[in-house]
Amino acid sequence: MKQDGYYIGIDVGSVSTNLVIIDENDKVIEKLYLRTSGQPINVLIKGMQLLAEKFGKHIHIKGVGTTGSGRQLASVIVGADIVKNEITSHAVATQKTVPGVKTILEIGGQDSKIIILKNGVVNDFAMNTVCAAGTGSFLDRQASRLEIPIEEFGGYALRSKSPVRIAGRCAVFAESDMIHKQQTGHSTEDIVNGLCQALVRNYLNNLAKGKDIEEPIAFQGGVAANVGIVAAFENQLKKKIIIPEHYDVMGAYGAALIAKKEATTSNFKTSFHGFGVANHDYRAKSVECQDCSNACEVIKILSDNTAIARWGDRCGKWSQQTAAV
Amino acid sequence: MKVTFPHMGNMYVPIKVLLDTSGIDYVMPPYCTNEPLELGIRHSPEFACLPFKTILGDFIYGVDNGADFILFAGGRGQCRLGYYGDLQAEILKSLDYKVKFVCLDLTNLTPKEILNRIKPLTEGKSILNIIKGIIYAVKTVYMVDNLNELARYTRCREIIKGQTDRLISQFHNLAQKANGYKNISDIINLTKKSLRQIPVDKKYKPVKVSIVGEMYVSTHPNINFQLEKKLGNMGVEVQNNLSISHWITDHFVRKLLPIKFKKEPHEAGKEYMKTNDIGGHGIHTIGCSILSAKNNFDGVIHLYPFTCMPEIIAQCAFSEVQNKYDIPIMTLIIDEMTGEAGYMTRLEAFIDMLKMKSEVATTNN
Repeated sequence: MKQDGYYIGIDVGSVSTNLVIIDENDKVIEKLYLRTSGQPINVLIKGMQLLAEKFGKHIHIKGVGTTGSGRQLASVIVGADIVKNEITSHAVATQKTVPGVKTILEIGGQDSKIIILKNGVVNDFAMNTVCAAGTGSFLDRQASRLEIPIEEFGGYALRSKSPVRIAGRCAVFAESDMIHKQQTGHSTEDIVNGLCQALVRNYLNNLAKGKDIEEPIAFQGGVAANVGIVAAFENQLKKKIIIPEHYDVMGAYGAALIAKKEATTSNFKTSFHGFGVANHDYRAKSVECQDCSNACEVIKILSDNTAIARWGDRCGKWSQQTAAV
Repeated sequence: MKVTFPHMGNMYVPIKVLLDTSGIDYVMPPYCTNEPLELGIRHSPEFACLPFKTILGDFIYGVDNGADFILFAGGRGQCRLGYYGDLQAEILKSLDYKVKFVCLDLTNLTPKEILNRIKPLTEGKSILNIIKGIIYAVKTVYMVDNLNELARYTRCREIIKGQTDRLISQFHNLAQKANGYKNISDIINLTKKSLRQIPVDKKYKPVKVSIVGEMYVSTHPNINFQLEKKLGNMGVEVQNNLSISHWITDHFVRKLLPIKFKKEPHEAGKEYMKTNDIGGHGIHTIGCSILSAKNNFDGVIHLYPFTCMPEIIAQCAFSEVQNKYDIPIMTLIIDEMTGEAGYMTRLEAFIDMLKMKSEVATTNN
C-alpha cells in the first residue's frame, strides 16, 4: 500500500471545515465534515488527528491542497502545496463528478456562488456581494431560533401546504417578516417553506441575474442537504437539479484534485508537514506593528511558541518572511 | 491661512508642489492610516458613501491639526457629490469648527473663477509663484501618473517579485517628506530610473485587466485594498481608466483648446445610456468597458463605493456588454469592511478564470 500516493484536500470555511483524502484514481476514500465553530485552528487539528488515527501509518501523502476562506491559515499549519480559491476548486471537483456540468449552484456558510461553465472552462461566476441573507449561516440561525435541528429544516418545508411570503432581500428584514407571520398564526412548516422560497428567489435575482442557467445543473455546499431549498430551486427554475455525491465537501475534493494534478505534472516533493502536525500546539496572536504610521494589525501564527507565519501587513515586511520559511 | 486637503491616490504629490511653490501653508492628513477614516465614519450620516466619510475624516484631521481653510472639489450633475461639499461644511460647523470651507464646482469653472474663489488663500502671495505652482503641479500630475504606468508594466513582469512594490512604497515615504517641485520631481525621476533597472521577463504575456468605475475608490489604494498592487503581483497587467491626468486632460486642457474633442468613453457608453449625464462616472464606466473589450483586454474590474447611484446604473448594462462584446466583467463594491479575504477570493477566482480562458483560446488557435 505504501507506494500508492494519496492526496489531501482541506476546505476551511466559515461554518464547516472539510477534509478529504483521495487516491490515485481520484476516488474519495475519506471525508470529514466538521463544524468550524469560529475556531479554525482547533478544528483543523482535530480533523488531522482523526485522519492520522485512521490512516496515519498506512498511507503516503503526495500532495496537499487547501481552499476556503481559511486557506492561508490551513496552508501554513499542514504545509500545503497548493492554495486555491473556492471558485476554481468547486469547478474542478464538479467537472469530475458531474461530467459536462454547465451550471454550478453553491451555497455555503457565508458565501453563495454561481459558476457558469462553457466548454469545460469557467466562463462566468458571481458571488453574493454585501448581504448574507441567502447563505447557510442565516438558515442555521433561523433553524435554531425555531428550535428545529438544521438537518430536519428542509423536511418541514416539504410538508408545507401553502408557503407564506417572506422578504428575502435582507437577513434582518427576513427575520422580522418571519416573526410577524409566526405571530399571526401561520404554521412553522409554511414559514420554513416561505423562507426556502425567499432564499432561492433572492439567489436567482441577485447572483444569477442575466445569466443563462443551462442543464446539467449541480447544486452543492452544505445547504444542498436541505431538501426544501432543492425543491424551491427545481420549482423556480423548472429544471432538474443534480446533487453530486460529495456535495458537502466539494471544495476540499477540488483542492485535492488540483494538488494531485500539480503533483503529477510538475513532479514536486510535497511540503506536507506529516500527520504529526496534530501533536503540536498552534495559536494565533494579533500584534499592532509600530514601525510606521500604517499601524497594521499583523497576525502571527505560533506553533509551539515559534512563529511560523505572519500576515496582515501592507508593506510586506512580515509576510515576506513567511514566504522565506 | 492654513489649508488642508483630502487624499485621493497620488493627488497629494501635485497638491504639495502647488502649495509649496505658491508659498501657502498647509496640513496634510496622514496618507495611509485608519485614524481619519474612523473620524469620518463617526461624524457622517450612515447612508453616505465611503469617499464622503474618508474625505470628511481627512478634513477633521486637518482642522484638528491647525488648518483653518478647506478646499474641496465637488461637482454638479445628478449624483450626490453635488451636495457633499455643503453637507460637509454643515457637519464641520455643527462640530464647532471655525474653518473657511470653499467648494469648487469643477464641472463648469474656468481657471479664472477658481482663482477668484481661493482668494483668501492667495492674498499677499506672489501671482507669479501661484502661476508657477499651477504649472508645476500639472506637470507633476502627469509625471506621477507616468510613474504609475511604468510600475504597472514592471510589477507583473519583474523576475524577483516585490521589487516594484518596494520602490513605490519608498517613493511615497520620500514624497511625503519632500517639499517643492525640484525635490519632488527629483524623487519621481530617481524612482523612474530605478524602476527601469528592474530585471523583467520581456517575453511574458500577462493577462490584461482594465479598471473602471468610480474615481475615488479606483485611484485610492488605501480604500481599494491595494487592488493594482495585488493584481500586478498575480502577474496581471493593469490599466486604470481613472487617473487625475486623464481627468485634467478631459476637463481643462481639451476645453481650452479650440478643437472639439469627442470623449471616446462617452461616445461608446451612449450605446447603453441614452442620456448625456447621470452624474459621476456612469457613462464613462460603460464606455470604458466596451473600449476595453475592443482593445483586447482579457477582463474588466468594476469598482464602486456601496450605494453609489451612477455606478449601480452602469452595472445594469454589464450583462449586455459581457454578452455582446465577450468580455468578463466583475464588480467589486467597496465599503467600510477591512477584511480582505472575500475580495481576494473573488480576485483570484476572476484572474484564474481569465488565465484558463486565454489558455484555451491559444490552444484552439
